[in-house]
Amino acid sequence: MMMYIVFIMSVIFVISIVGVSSKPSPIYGGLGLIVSGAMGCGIVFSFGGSFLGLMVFLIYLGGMLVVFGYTAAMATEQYPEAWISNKVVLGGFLSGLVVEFLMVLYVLWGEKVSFVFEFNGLGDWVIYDVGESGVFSEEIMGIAALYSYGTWLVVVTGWSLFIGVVAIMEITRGN
Amino acid sequence: MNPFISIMLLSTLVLSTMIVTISSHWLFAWIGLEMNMMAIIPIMMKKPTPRATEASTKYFLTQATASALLMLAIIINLMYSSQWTIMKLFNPTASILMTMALAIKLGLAPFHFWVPEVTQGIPLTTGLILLTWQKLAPISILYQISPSINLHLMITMSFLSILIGGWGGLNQTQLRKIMAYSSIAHMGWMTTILLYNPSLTMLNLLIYIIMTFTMFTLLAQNSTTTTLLLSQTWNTMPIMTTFTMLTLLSMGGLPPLTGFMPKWMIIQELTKNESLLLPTLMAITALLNLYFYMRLAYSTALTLFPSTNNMKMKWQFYPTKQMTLLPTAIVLSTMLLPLTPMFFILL
Repeated sequence: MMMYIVFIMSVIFVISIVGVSSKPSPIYGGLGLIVSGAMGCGIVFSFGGSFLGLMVFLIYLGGMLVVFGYTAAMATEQYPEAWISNKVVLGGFLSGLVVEFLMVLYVLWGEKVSFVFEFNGLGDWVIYDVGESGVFSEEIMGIAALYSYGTWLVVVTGWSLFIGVVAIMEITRGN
Repeated sequence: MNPFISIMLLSTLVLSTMIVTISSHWLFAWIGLEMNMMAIIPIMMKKPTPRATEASTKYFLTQATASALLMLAIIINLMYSSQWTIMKLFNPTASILMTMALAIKLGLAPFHFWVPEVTQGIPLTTGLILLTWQKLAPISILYQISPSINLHLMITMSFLSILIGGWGGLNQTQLRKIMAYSSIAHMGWMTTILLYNPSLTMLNLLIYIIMTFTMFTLLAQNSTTTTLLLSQTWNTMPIMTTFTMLTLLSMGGLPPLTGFMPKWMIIQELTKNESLLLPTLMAITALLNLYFYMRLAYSTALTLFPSTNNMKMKWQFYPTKQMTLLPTAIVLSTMLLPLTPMFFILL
């Protein structure tokens, strides 16, 4: 079962994203995002990217989603729409579930789980590895490179995030 | 809008397009497109009416979907070529997905539905930015991946755009919607020639931007947004009627005006590549475009459109709006045809 952990996590990932996109109230959508974020982290962990997965937990779930949850709680209505309270939302969720279930059957039946994630190693000695080098972890070196060689990228992404906030402030100002 | 914020957003708009055009890494190009979308949304909502909100929402949804598809195509390309350089794509799936994502961004048929509705909901000068500046970034990416674009998909989308751009504009009286359908049709002409001679795409883009800028600046002088208002310009600024007529005829592609140049070059290039039916059909469907431009020119310059009598006696004030580059633009959009050999610099 442990061999299929990535597959199980990706299935739960898809199911929770279906739960978000079937349009319940934002509070319940936030719950779906938490579960999908956690499962995404788990997939990144399984491929050896421990640092990046923990970053996602910290910044995405612990920073952005918390702020989102607070603002959604401030703007919520008296009877928020859950997945079972509205036929449209329930129908969307169930159709996504059915399609995902069919895909799971197809992957498991056709022994195609190995397509979902690739083993990198010598037969029985299965190694989940980030890259080909056995000396250092490419993931950590990449993050270090972001702040040394990739200064322009930090500037551009920082500016675009700043512009995102400015754009949202301007739009919601209202006068 | 706070002028500080306005300057920041406009400079981000310029910066984002520059990032998309000069970058060699797919991630950077994608970041540039996202910044582009982020920066123009508050500009579109300068006056926060429900109309503008609806237009901004539609723009945001379509462009965000296109960005997601673009990212998927980039990652599929990464999977099959293991490198991030912007060059031709190495997988047909990635190529088709990216072509469709960029078609959504440009407003090519069958993804054209957002263009008239978004253009109608925003002020005239913002519509100008939307229809000219926002086309630069996606076309630069299309130019760079042009060796790997699927011919059938591209020709289908572009011919459908010319058809829909011509046909859809026939029933319109709102000038912004007419300009939107004109943009769809011109995008169709531009992307037809992309796989045969991408320099002509650039030529067509340049001429289209000049003509659209002229048209929008002429419309913004009197803030005319309907045919009815346009038909009253003979009373307030008579010279504008002549300019409007000449620019409209140029946009329709009539010789000896500038707008004929890209159409002529495109048809010549297509016939050199032994496709005869396509340019014939394209030239015929361009007549639909010419018809509604002619109708506007008719009601503006050639006839007195019916109106009430008090509309015929307006004060002729000195124009206080700054006519930025209008004389230059008018000359460029009507008299550039003899300079056709000059455009070999685009090669």
